Amino acid sequence: MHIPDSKVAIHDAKRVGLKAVQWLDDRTGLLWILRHSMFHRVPRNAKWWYVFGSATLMFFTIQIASGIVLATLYAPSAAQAYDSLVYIDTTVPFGWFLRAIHGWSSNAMCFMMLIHLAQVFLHGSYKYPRELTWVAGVLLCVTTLGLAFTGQIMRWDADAYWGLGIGASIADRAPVIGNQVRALVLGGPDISGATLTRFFALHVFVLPGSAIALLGFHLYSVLRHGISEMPKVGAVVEPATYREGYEARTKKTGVPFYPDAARRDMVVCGALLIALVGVAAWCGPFGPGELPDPTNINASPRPDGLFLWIFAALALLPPSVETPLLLIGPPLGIAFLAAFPFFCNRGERAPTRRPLSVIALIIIVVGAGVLTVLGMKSPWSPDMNAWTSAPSPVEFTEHRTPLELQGALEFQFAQCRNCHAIGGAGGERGPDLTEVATRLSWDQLVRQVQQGGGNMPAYGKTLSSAETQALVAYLTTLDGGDLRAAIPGALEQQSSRDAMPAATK
Amino acid sequence: MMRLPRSLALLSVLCASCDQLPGKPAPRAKPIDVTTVAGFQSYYATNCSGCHGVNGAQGPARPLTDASYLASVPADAMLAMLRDGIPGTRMPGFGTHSIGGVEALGGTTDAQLQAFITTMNSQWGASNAVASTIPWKHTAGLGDASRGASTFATHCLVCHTQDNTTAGSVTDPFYLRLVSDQHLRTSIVFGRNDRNGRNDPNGRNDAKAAMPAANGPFPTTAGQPALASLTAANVDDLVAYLASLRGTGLSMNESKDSAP
Ligand code: HEC
Repeated sequence: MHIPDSKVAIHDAKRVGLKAVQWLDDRTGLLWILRHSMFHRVPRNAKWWYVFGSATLMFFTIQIASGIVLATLYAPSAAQAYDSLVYIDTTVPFGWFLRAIHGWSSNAMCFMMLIHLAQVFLHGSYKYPRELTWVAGVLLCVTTLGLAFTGQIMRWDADAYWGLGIGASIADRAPVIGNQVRALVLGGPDISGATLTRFFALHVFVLPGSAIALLGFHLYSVLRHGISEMPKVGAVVEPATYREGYEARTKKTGVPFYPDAARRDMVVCGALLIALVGVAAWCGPFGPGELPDPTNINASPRPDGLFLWIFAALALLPPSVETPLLLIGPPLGIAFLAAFPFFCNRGERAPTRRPLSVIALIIIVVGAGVLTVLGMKSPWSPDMNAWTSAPSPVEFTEHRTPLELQGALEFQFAQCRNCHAIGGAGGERGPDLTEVATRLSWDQLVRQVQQGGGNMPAYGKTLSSAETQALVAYLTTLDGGDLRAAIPGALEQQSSRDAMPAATK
Repeated sequence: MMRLPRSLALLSVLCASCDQLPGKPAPRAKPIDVTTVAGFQSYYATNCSGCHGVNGAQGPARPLTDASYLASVPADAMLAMLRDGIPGTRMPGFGTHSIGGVEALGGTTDAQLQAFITTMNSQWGASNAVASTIPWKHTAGLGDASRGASTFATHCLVCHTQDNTTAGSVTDPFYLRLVSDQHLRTSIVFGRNDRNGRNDPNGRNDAKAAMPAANGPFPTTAGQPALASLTAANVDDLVAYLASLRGTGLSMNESKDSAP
């Protein structure tokens, strides 16, 4: 019989290929792993609830891939970082799109991860025997948020300074070792080129490395213990009998992961992928925003959406609670979350039987949501354009001495206006100063300007004595028309107006 | 065999249209058309009004509605001031932050600044305004402080008399350390026609004489003969005189102030 040459060739190729695969499997066991992970039996009732983990994984993969390309284009030095981003945006073909994908996928990953976390918590899936899966998940959560946080710093624009400022101020508050911790975080006493290098190393080596290791363990544990069934009232987790029961049930009623359950993952991931491309193409990359102005580090804090709630919490908390909460809160919260399954690794999994957990989850979600909305509005945030766009009210510049006019100028130039309104215009982070002269004396004004305090930066080092003099001379004329002193000492030293009755209209 | 070229064509169409996707960052963040009056006004409102006042006047900084000033400053000098700011003073630059020829975000291009200046001149300038005969630009070392003191006595003291003993006046070292010689010169040559003065020589504060330009008219106390305009040499001397007062005063070590 004559067999066509092409068929022989295909046959040979198949044989060689098969041999190669067999060889690889023999040496590594890859096929076994593949078969097990694809065709292991999963509970039949594991429906759409279970897709969030896979979606997180998909976005993480996108992050790695797009991140590697970005790392080849980005210049992690303080002098060039900003320019290199502009270069990627404007000159590299599709560079802007790559940045958009990386940025939006990062947000999507965090979002999916948080939903995944909430779902696992809600369904009590962290109970026996999946305690360590949960611990790895919590650590992954911390790592991922760390990646998002350090990623925002890579932009090295004014917004990046928010993260750095917060990092530095948290470090600063640590008792005794505050200075050393600050130096460790910032790579020196101040934000500098060394800071960016440090955060770059975290963002591209340390954190992704940790994430991959943790993820490996997380996925391994998922395979080892199988995914949990949908919680049912009365189906109590009992460590002594759980495993046997689970195996028996999945053997009897379970379905192979591929294609039955994987189908849903693929549908969701496909839809999310399309959405990601669409959003990235439509909305474009994040930043880089304004160039950072190092003299203005305290005035422009504004984080990405994911951290708006921290931003809001920090802005709204009274300073006295802020320090302990900042230093103790996060480590304690993370430790508590991680240790959670060790306190209650048995019993009911159904949410209806765990009202406390459900209420706690609702409080956290609603709280974070409210804080995020507040963070978006952020009335406490400086109005970054006020210094050039909010005119000095004419009634406050009329009949002023030359020195006071210089003070009015300095009030704009030192960007006081970004935080303080006068005559109805300006930022709302600090109090309205239209009538400040009636409530503070000359000395108190000098003190406030030089030493700051209560979320106002200290200007003692940045203003010369003449500038301070001019500013305070101007401030003493801000008496809201001609109100009376509200405290003794106020309005006593108005450098010029006493000699000038017409000045008070 | 038909499929490959077709998918290639599709791909290239896709790629070509990618360049017009809405997400692609614009080379400049907000291109405002400053050639229109509305565009000019909005640019002015966001970037200038903070210091130069709502409609180009009555802010703490120099009024821009001064037609004589606009006529006197040459176009290239004005462009340089708007683009690069005035180093050492509180006037920031609004030009582009340029990276290898690529215009980056936030900056205003030279062309736009040119257009802005043109619109500003047509809005606030006057076609019949003549440039000042006294050079607008300060040149260091021309004046004589003691001659300046006597000119100050004849021409300025009549209004600035009370100021002379009051903190915050034009002779206050604190004030002088905050301003450059150019600022002093510009104020003397062009005056401040947007703002009523604080002191009236005849004690009628409601009269509110404005600070006159170098060509006067200079107010006098009642019954005195009118004063002559200031000459270019007078202005040099006055600047030198005021500059000489800077060094005296309470604190001697100003480092950051704009005064040269
Ligand atoms: C980052 C925003 C911010 C900037 C910029 C800022 N301040 Fe403040 N300022 C504040 C806050 C917040 C307070 C309230 C402090 C407190 O509660 O103790 C304040 C308080 C004050 C007060 C006291 C008001 C009162 O009624 O007690 C004065 C005066 C003042 N600032 C002047 C200035 C001047 C002058 C500048 C510019 C050199 C300036 N501020 C810049 C945020 C700012």
